[in-house]
Amino acid sequence: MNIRKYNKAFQIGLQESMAYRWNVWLEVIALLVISFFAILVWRYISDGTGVEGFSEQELLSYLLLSGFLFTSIHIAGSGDAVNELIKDGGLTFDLIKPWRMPIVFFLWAMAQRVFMSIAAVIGYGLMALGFGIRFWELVTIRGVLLVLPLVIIAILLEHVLFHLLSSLAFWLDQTWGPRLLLRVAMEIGAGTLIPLSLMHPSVRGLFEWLPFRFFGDVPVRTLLGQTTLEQYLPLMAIGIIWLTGVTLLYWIVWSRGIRVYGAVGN
Amino acid sequence: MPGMRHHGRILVQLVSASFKQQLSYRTSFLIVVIAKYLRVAIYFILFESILVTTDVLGGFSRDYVLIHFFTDFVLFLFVSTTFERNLVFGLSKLVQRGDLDGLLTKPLNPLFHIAFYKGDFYDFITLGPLFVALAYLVFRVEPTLEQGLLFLGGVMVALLFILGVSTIFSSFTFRTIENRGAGRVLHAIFRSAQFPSTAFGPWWGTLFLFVIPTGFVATLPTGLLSGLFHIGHLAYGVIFTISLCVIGIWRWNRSLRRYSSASS
Repeated sequence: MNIRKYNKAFQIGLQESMAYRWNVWLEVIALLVISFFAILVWRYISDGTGVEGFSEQELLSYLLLSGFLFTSIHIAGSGDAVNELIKDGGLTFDLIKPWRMPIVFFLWAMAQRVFMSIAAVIGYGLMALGFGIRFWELVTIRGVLLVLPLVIIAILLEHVLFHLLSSLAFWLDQTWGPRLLLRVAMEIGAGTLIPLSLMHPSVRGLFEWLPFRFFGDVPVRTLLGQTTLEQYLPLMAIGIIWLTGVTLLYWIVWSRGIRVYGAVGN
Repeated sequence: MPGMRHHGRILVQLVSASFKQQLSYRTSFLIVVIAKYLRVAIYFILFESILVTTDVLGGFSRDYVLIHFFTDFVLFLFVSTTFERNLVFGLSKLVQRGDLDGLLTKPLNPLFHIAFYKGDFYDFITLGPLFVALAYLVFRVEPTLEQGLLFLGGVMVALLFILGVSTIFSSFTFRTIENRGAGRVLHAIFRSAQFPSTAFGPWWGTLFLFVIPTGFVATLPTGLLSGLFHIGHLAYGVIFTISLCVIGIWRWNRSLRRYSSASS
């Protein structure tokens, strides 16, 4: 019974994404454009010879794949709707329905991700062909198998992080600022503009402690066979710890927020 | 001149109203401003990291890459404080809600009113220190008077370019109504300006400097300052951007005449 309910929620999400399919395409194109310029600059810098231990193919494959993963995992404007629902009081109507809203939010986001991923495959595929990036020559079967759990962790982590910040709207009304910061940190920390290993050591050290590398750098290095099993297991453990921590925090914030929610808005 | 003064007074009133409105969420205001500074810091680190791998980026030495970086941020914060966000994203909301009709009844030029009806004070607050940093960096390279004037000319071209593109973009809003996705694409294209266009390689560099000239935003002024470009490049920029603005205003007026006033 419960599954049917949530299945319906997912279908509603799919239909909404279909209704705004042009918008979904354009959101993907926007992220593609950012990756495109990053690849142009790094191609110019590497000048056919590579940069700091990366061959040109490795460097461009890294940027392309991290851009693709980021586009597939991250939803532009993630958390906007939740913030608006809380601020405007619209959440009231959803709360009286017989389902758990955090799960519904996740299913709606997953429906959007389905469309984003399809669009990203096409867009980044074309870009790989255009730039002659033969990333498939570097991808290993072991890498493909190992990357799947990491991608699941990344999707859940992205969702929970943004919705955690959006839920602060129960107290702050407007949470656009923290989400903007999170998005920028994610974009850089994921390695869409620069591989993490090429960053300034002090900054690299900071980003290695933060969860953003799970949105690009960690899965991409695994996919390209640059992560040994000895490195992989601790990385998985770190990802799970981050996910558990932020989910717990989200649960606390959401349940406390619901108690202070005034069901009115502007 | 009285017309200019009238519009100037109205601009101050619009900006002041926006400021009060944005300050009503004080905590959020503070967080957004901190977030904006941190965004600049994160991108600064990105460029520092790029400069570790290469001494010269697109023909610019380290000092000029930093000038390029700050020129790009200062210009985008300035246009975002004033007209860019209103034209690219704001007009769409006005049309959807039907609020545009109210605006059109007022005795003001509609394009002026829509472009400046809301000021972004988050960006305004962030702008100040970055402007000081840019001025410091420019004076540090000890430009000649001619180079300084060329740099200012390049900045004016950059502003006109963003105004022209934003006006043309907004004119399509009357037809498309929802343009959030397209607006994000435009922003992403504008963001290419944060890298020197000359660092895109010869073919793409020429394309983004002269044909789809996002390079006008920071690469042209910095190139004029460093001597990489000369007055001929500036002249091309002036002609291009003035043409763009003329087309933008013509298209905007044409679209406005066809505005159906239907809203949801």
